[in-house]
Amino acid sequence: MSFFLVDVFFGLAVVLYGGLAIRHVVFLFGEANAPATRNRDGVRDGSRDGSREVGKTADGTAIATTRWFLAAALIHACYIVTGSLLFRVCPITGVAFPLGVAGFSAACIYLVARMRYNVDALGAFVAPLSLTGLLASRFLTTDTGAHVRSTVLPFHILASCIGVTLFSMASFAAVLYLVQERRLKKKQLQGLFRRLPPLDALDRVEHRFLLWGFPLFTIGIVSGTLLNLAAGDIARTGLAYVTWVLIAGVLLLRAMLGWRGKRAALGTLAGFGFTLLLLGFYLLRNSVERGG
Amino acid sequence: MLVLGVSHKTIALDERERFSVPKDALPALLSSLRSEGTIAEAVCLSTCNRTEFFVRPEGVSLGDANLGAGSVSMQNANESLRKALSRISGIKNVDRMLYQRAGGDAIRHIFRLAASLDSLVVGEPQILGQLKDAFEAASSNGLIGGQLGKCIMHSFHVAKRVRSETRIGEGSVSISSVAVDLARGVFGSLDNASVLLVGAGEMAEAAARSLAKDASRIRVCNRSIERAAELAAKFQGSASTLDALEQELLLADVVVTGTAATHYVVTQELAARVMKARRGRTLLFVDIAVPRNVDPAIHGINNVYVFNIDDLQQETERNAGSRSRAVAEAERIVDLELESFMRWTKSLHVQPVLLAIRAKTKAILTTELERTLSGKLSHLSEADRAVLAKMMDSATNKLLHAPTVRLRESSDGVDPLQLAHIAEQLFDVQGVSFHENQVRESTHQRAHQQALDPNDAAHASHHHGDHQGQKNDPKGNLQ
Repeated sequence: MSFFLVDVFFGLAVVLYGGLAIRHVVFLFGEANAPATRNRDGVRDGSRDGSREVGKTADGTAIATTRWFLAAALIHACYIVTGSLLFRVCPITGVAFPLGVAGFSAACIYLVARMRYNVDALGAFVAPLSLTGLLASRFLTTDTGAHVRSTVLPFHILASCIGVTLFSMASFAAVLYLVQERRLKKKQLQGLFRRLPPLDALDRVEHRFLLWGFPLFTIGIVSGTLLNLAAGDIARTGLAYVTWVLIAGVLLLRAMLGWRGKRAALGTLAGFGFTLLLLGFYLLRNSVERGG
Repeated sequence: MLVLGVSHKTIALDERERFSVPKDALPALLSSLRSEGTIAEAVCLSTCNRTEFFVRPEGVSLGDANLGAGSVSMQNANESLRKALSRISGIKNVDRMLYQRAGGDAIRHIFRLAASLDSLVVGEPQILGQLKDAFEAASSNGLIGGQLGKCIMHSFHVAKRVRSETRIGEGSVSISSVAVDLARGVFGSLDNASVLLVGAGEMAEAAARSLAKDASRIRVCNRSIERAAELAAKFQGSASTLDALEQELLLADVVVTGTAATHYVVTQELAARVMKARRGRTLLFVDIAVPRNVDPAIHGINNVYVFNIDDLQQETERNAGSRSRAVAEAERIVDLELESFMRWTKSLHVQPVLLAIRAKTKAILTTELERTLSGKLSHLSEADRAVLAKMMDSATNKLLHAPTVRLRESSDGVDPLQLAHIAEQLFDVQGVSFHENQVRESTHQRAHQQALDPNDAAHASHHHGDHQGQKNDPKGNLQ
């Protein structure tokens, strides 16, 4: 019965994340001729074309999307909790559950960000990210974290997990920023430009994600340093510090010299590139160790 | 009737701005046109989207709807206007940039223009005000008479009818609303945005009205502090002069420029300095001025975006499709009004004949009455004589009412000149239309030139023929 409940939560979360991913992709690329404009809150609005109803529909769709995301995140949380209890492991140790936690935290961060910024379109990235985390936690590895003994490791994994999730969301905001910036510089005000979040909102949310993620990432690499040095893993530690310096540089240059917009977006993407390398290194090393 | 000019449909903004005629330069331009003697009536309309002349060439009646651009008077007026446009723009050969309409096409163009059907933003209301201003300017310079004046006045009526009978104005995307939408695309909510208006003209005010709904702060920067303060007061904003522009740019998020300056008010150097001081904060320029106020090269600076009138065109065109039905209805109204107006213009041919008939009838009756009053009815008092005179006037009116109406009405579909001749012969009056004189004289000039130099006849008649002819023209015959 318990296994069945876990499967139900898993299945529901997969369907919801999948549906939300499709909905966002269709929203971004499937309505080439939709007369979408932004209202004062940056939500799609057709009111300028004399149709208040279209505006209401757009607002209604945004609210519905938020509710579905909330439902997906809650079911995902239920899956993690019931699964952890069933396997009798802490969900933030090992590899399997942290992947699920990363997906879950992405959904939560997105919901929080949406409350403050007009960044609906980020859902096109967050929904697949959460779905991938959920699927990976189930199928990619069978590691349940039973081998973990260090007390530092849970903090290391949790901080790194959420930190990397925030960096990945910042980098997606950076990609959208670069798309918007390019369209504005080319003066293409139709199509995608009208469906993507406002340029300045993307810049601010990208900065916020980096700011939120940086302390967590710092905790992650400091705790990771202790673990890695103990394990004699100098290369991974070195790569982590290069990534840290890069992201610190992006934040510092913004604060000191006003490096915003395109420069900040490119810096964020470079930082995330190194984070991916680090993550790849970690997963590869882990799978080799498991294989060994 | 002749229309000659440039617009957003023929040339891009960077060329169009060279044709812009500042308000204070308009009287001198109109005076110079009048002094050339080739133009009887003229209106010069210079907006951010067009610079056009509507003229009635000297010696041409509005009723000469079929008189094409090839006639001598038309060619002379055309030449004067081309020279004027060349002077304004500083471009030697402006031919490739211009468009022209003659006769009925010119009148249709004016009606469509007033009805905002030829506008960059179809359905926008500003064009009517701009046309009225142009009309006032021409009128105060003595360049409006009974014919072009009537045409322009009728275009106002067409515009009002189109606006009241169709939904062309509903949901039209004005430049101001596009600017607001663009600002939202860049900044999202404008609740915390600071909007700077550089210039305090009508367009700036319209933009401020749209932006004031959302933006938290409106600042106005203008050459004249009084006008800036006046506009700022309407939006609870602050005012400053252009001397403080650099400081104002530091505080702004959205800058709407609409001054009448003929040079860049915001240069690349200024923008670079400002962006350094702003530490890269995004800055959006919406330049609605023609000539442009913001150096387009600024668009290349990081985090700065410059949009001018032409850049906003695709946005407004998107909206045009949704109102195609209203546009079709508006076009139908224009056609109907044009038909009605053309009937009136045709009646201009019979007008001198009608006047001549009336004068002759009155003269005959007055002579007969005076003869009778000095003879058999010499005993009548002054009061009785006055009653008789009044009765004669009334009889004249009643007698000529039917022929007058018939002549005017039957002129529709019938060659008006032919009709005028028949009436002349029937009543034995001399009301020969001016058009006939003009055609006769131009034909004579052409024949004369051909006799002198058959190879250069067309050119010669173009430049010299009509000037000679005009000396003998019965100027104002039909007015």
